Amino acid sequence: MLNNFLISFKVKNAYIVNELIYNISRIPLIGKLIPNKFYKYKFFKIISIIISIIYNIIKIFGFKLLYIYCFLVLPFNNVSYFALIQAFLFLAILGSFINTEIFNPTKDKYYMLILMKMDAKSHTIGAFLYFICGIFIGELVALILLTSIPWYYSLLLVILTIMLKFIAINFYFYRMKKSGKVINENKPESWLLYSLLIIIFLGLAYGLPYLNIIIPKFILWIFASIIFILGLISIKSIITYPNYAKLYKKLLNKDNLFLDNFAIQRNAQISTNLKQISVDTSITSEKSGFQYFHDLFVKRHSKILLKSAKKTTTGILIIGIILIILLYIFPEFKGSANKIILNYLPFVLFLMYFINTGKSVTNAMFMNCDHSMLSYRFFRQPQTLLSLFRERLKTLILLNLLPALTLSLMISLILFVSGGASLITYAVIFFSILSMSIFFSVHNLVLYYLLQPYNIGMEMKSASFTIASLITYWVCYYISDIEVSSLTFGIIMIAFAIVYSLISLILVYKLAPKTFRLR
Amino acid sequence: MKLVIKNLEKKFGTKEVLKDINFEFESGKIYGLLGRNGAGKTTLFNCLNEDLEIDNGSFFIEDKDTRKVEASDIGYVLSTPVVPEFLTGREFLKFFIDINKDKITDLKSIDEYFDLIKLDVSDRDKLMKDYSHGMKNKMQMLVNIIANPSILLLDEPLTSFDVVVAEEMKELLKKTKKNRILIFSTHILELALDLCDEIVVLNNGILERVSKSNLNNAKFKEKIINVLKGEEDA
Ligand SMILES: Nc1ncnc2c1ncn2[C@@H]1O[C@H](COP(=O)(O)OP(=O)(O)OP(=O)(O)O)[C@@H](O)[C@H]1O
Ligand SMILES: [Mg+2]
Repeated sequence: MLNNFLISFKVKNAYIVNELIYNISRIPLIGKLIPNKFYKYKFFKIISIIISIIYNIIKIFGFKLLYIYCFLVLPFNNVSYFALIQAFLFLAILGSFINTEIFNPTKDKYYMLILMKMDAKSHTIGAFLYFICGIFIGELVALILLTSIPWYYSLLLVILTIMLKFIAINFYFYRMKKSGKVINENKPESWLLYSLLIIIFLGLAYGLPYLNIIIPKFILWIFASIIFILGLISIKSIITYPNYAKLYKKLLNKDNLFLDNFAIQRNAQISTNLKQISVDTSITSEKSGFQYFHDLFVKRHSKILLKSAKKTTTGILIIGIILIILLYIFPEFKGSANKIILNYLPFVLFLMYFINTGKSVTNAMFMNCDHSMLSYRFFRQPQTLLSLFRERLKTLILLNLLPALTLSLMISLILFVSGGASLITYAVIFFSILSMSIFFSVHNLVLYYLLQPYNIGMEMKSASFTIASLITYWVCYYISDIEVSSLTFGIIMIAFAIVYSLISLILVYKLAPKTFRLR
Repeated sequence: MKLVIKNLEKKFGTKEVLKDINFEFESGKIYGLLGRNGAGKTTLFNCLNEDLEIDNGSFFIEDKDTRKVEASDIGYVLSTPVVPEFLTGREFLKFFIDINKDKITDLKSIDEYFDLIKLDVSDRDKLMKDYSHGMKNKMQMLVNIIANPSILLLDEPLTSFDVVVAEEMKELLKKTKKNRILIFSTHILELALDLCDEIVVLNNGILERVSKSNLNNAKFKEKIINVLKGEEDA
């Protein structure tokens, strides 16, 4: 078992590190410095072990310290440690059912049990033991360091926590046998019951101390003894449970796993993407060439393309109308509303950053179209690429124009209702919002064409793309904070959008035939 | 017309996959490209199609004079077929014909093209996401044949076809080989012997012709296998 455990540690190590190297090697310039043999360097192996030891220590201590701090230290002040013990126990009961380790479908388990075909039982029990030791050490240290509970009670509490986990697991075994369904601790059978239980136990944990209700000591002792005995009994059935292999075969399927980098996830993604293609046979197009191609793409994907635009438009409409009604009911706010609109246009830029649907659209484009089409050479010819780029840009701008128009309309209306402004201000606000929308559409599509962030496996794995996105976000965030009158900002924004769009279009025309390909 | 490859080299990191490729492919012939798994057949195709940048050497077309290999010269059928899955087979063909109108010489109707690859009438207007592997492969092959490229690269093309279709495709390839260079990689020795005019082996990063001279089929097969194993003089 120890052997198994070491192997799984090594494998985990290896994939964490490989992912790291892979990501570093994709950063422009820096990436070039990394030789291909890097994966083999002894030196790097040692670093990798250090990294994963640190990672494990953070996992064991960091999370537990955080847990105890957030759930036991922050919410209380000046309560007796008995109240804390009581709260801790209620939380532990809740936690034992939410986090059992055994019923958690993780990536590690997928690697070990499905890909490496390790023996399910010995791996599970090894990993579980590690989990239990982590709780024991981590929570004990956290309780002693952070709370006023004496060490012997802390020790008792930690042991009870572990016993509760044993009982919970046993309960789940029992439920599975009864219902014949596999239990996944992250996907409760009934969300209603689940939320209800959470509310009840949180209520007990925090409500009782606030109401000054402390459960008598002897009841606590009886409770502890029962848990202890039940826990001990449960150990045996965890060790002897015969169906771990079967359990994980069912549990580790693609719907349950949050995997980020391999085939199963890819297949799942491909099939969900394909499902988004409309099968409506009446869809046709009268156009020809690229327009025909693009037209069919848009029509067959209209649902996902329009989804978020529709949602945001509705959202803006509702919020706008509510605000206008509020201004009628409370006219005393009109002055400040007017002032806000006249001075906080930069903030709208930040808003527009989130409203823009560019990313989901380019995602659909790649998954359902470019991923396959880019392997055809004719599709990569500069002329072809750019004709399609033009069509796509038009569509993207149109798609984003809907929420943008609604937003500028709403802002203008609120401005009007709250006291109005000069005609030129209306015009500038209106057009600057439109130009923001166009700017983001251009920006998103241009980034997609220049950096093409997906690899052949359809994973979004491009350091330069991530960096570019972060910069975009950061710039928008920074700008949203500066104080400048809406009139000035609007004019600058319009000019900037025009210049930016021109420059980036030139860049696309010059560079995209080289940059827009499969990696 | 000839496709001439001179001193072509391709490395991945320090791994030299193609070492020193020198070869002349002649039009009107089908070349069977054999090689062990990982020998670099797909890599060679990717280089010729300029999907990968080569590290050294050159390749060009030699006709009356020499010229660069243009995009329109090459058709490339991948081993895993990819097609735009949101289109029907008919729509894909229409799109392709639309944008290549000026390059296609003897334009046929879409259904005639479908007949060529024997795609069932009921499948022609289905979205390609519901096509089988073999059907996608046929579509990809068709698209590459329509444009009439002078060089056709096929990476393990017939493996996913059922027996009947494979025979039909073989006939189709034989028909299309006139005035064009057909290079196709395969792991099926019989197929290579049956269909190809020349057998070329990629081994240790080097491309060499295995001449049949006056050997019978069984002896020839033995010779090829020995070359593949790397024991040339055995
Ligand atoms: N993008 C890449 N990066 C690094 N190495 C690669 C890459 N593509 C291919 N290789 C390596 O180049 C070698 C040749 O691969 P290639 O796919 O060309 O072989 P193949 O002859 O087509 O094999 P098969 O018969 O299995 O299809 C392999 O060792 C492979 O690992
Ligand atoms: Mg190959």
